Amino acid sequence: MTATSRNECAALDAADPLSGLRTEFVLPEGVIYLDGNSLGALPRRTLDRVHRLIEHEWGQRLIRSWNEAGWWDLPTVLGDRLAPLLGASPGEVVVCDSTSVNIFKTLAAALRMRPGRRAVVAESGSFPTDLYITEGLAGTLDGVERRLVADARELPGVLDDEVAVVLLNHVDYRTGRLQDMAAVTDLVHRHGALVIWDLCHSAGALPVELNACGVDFAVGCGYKYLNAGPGSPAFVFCAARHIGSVRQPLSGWWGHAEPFAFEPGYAPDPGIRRFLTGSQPVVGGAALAASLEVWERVDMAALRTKSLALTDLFMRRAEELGLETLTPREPERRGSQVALRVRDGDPGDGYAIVQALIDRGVIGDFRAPDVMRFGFTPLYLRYVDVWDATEALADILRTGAWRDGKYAVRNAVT
Amino acid sequence: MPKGTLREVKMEPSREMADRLDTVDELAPFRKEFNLPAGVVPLNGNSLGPLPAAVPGAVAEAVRQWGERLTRAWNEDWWHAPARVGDRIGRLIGAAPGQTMAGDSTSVQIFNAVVAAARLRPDRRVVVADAGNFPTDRYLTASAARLLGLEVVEVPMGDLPDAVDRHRDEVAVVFCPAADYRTGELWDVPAVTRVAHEAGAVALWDLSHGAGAVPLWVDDDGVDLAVGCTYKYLSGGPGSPAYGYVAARHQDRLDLPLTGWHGHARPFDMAGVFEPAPGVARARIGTPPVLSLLALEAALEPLERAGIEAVRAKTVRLGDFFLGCADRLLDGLGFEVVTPRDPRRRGGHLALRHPEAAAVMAALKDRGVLGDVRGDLLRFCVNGLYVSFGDVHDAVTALREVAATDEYRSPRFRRREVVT
Repeated sequence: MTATSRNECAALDAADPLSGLRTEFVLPEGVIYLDGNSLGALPRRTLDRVHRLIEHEWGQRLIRSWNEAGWWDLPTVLGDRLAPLLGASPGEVVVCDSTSVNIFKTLAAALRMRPGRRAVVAESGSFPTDLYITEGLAGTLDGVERRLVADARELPGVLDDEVAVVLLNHVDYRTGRLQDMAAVTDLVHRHGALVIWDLCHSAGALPVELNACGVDFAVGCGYKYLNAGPGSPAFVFCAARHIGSVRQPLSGWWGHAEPFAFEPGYAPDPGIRRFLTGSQPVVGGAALAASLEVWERVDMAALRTKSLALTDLFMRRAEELGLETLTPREPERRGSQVALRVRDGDPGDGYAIVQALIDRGVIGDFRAPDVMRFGFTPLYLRYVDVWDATEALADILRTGAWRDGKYAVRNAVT
Repeated sequence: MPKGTLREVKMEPSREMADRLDTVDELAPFRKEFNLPAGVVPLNGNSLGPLPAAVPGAVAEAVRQWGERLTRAWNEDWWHAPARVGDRIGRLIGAAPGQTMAGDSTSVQIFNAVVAAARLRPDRRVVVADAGNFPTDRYLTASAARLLGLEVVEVPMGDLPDAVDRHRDEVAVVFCPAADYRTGELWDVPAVTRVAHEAGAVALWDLSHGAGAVPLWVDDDGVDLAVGCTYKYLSGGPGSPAYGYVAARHQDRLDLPLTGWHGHARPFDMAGVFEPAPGVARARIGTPPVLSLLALEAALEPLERAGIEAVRAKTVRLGDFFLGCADRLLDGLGFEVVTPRDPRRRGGHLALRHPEAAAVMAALKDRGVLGDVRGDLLRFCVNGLYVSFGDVHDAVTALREVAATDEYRSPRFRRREVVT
């Protein structure tokens, strides 16, 4: 049942099994944060963890911390702790680099596993870096063909025995549409190709079952729903069945079997470390370690239930205000974010409305050309927050406050 | 020459001399700008620089921005940080603004740079590289070569001009380190760059062991591309972002393989086709590690204020003093100095060969003297920004005691750590 008043929202908050987690986060006064799908909020315990890393591990122990404090093993230790959120097993996930760099690694690795097949399929509406990296890779390797589909529904038309790998976004970054990972993975496999799922907008947003779906590779980001901080290290998943034979081209010393033997030739680590390249930013790793402590207390089924209730509430209220919802209404087809558009409006209207909301402390974001995007993070958002956000939206639309020229000025980051 | 200089040092490398040199050292106050643990002699800044005192506050501020400003902080401070920090690193390597970009690891930067450098010479198929370069440079050069169908010719630096000459019509890229990561030998950046250019090749440098240790002039020397690490002489902290330098003349036709969204001309248009940003901004890839990046930014400040020339002058004197102490205290104990004695051929660290290097270093560390080991070489970084003459004397004295008493033969110094 969707709440129809603020009081009903307050009652839902009182009964929310996740309500105790809100105090784990630092949330600024007067802000309703609906942008955790872009940058997750700061977990309170991160402050201490980062401070200890800087002052003690680095300051006092210096290089000794590579061993003593576990800096060297951090990418795999964090990967193992992240694995349960992804439906992966220990030894299949490594935390490193940016999502963009990890897409390059996994695409190249998959192509090498299908010699003779030279086509890569990606979605034209996927997050742009997926397309750009695919382009960059196709330009680097001889004879690689890039095929684009609107989304997975068009896959049957392009899958043939030329296709080596398909790169897909689990949740669409704009609309929040969730793809059927099991069915699509199965389809790709039946055509002899491999699949890479980009989990940037699903990891930490909903239960992900990589192994149950038979996924080959996945990549994702730590700074959105996982709350690990700006530019925190991303991750790579590689199914255990592939790890022993897979090779990726960013074969730096951190992925070497014996990095401190300083051998002249490259020999990959036998495990998931072979997806590492160079030194990893340990401060970001420490922040992820702290945020994962919060995740260890989260029941993912409860998270999903609340997430769907929050997005449902927001969508219904937005529709009542006459806005167009781009996010699927069927729960099994949406992630944890909602995309809205102004019906029959100018492309810039959405940008101005988002800026007017931010001015009132309701932070969402805008994705060109005309999408207003709102993320719902059940760990620190309450039902009343969603209610209040829609009240602010209603007021901005009713009064036309968003038409003020100051809201049309574009920032570098939208 | 300032007071208390080489000639005196060479005559009498003693504790008293060290104290006298520290007393007149104009850079001595900079030591307080680093949070050095008590009882530690920090001679491993070539591996991980110590914590600058300004960094904890800068990181706390970055975390505060995250907590309070959330996504708004991207416009307020973060989005331009890679270019801002890049330009500051640029000043330390002799690069005018707009040519240096911070981000990613040195290894990722190397892959990007080798591929892009080779594409600047599309009709040529050979990369000539230093056989003694740091392994990750060699691994990634081999990988890039495999993808592009290039041949890699690895030779010792001394043979490099001949090798370039042998391949003069085929060599696309010459790839070398500014200093040897094992011996600390400093290479001649302008001379080798000239050799590359005379053969029509692109000169790519790994400045990891040079930047912050010695003055570099990449613009004046005509360097084409460079990469480097920031957690050594720049004290950016463990795994702090690396950087790439692209000479302005190459930027608009630089074809990088790692085409991430932050390198797009208009990243927030969310366009479907990659259009590289004008200038060095195309060398950005994905979202940069903001906390590490802002730590690095704060870390650069003491070095900038001291001035790289002054730091280098003191590093040379510390190196001379180290060698003077070694000659006097380590004679007959099985050590061999492998770093050139000529200061013009030395980077920021010194290397001693010893058949039991690992055990000797373990025993030294137990006494609070931090250096590190590469094969049978003990490495000691004498960064003039925060190392004192007293540190050098204490370190060599400890080396003598450890070696002369066979202390290093104790079983507890035989255990090998994962990271050496």
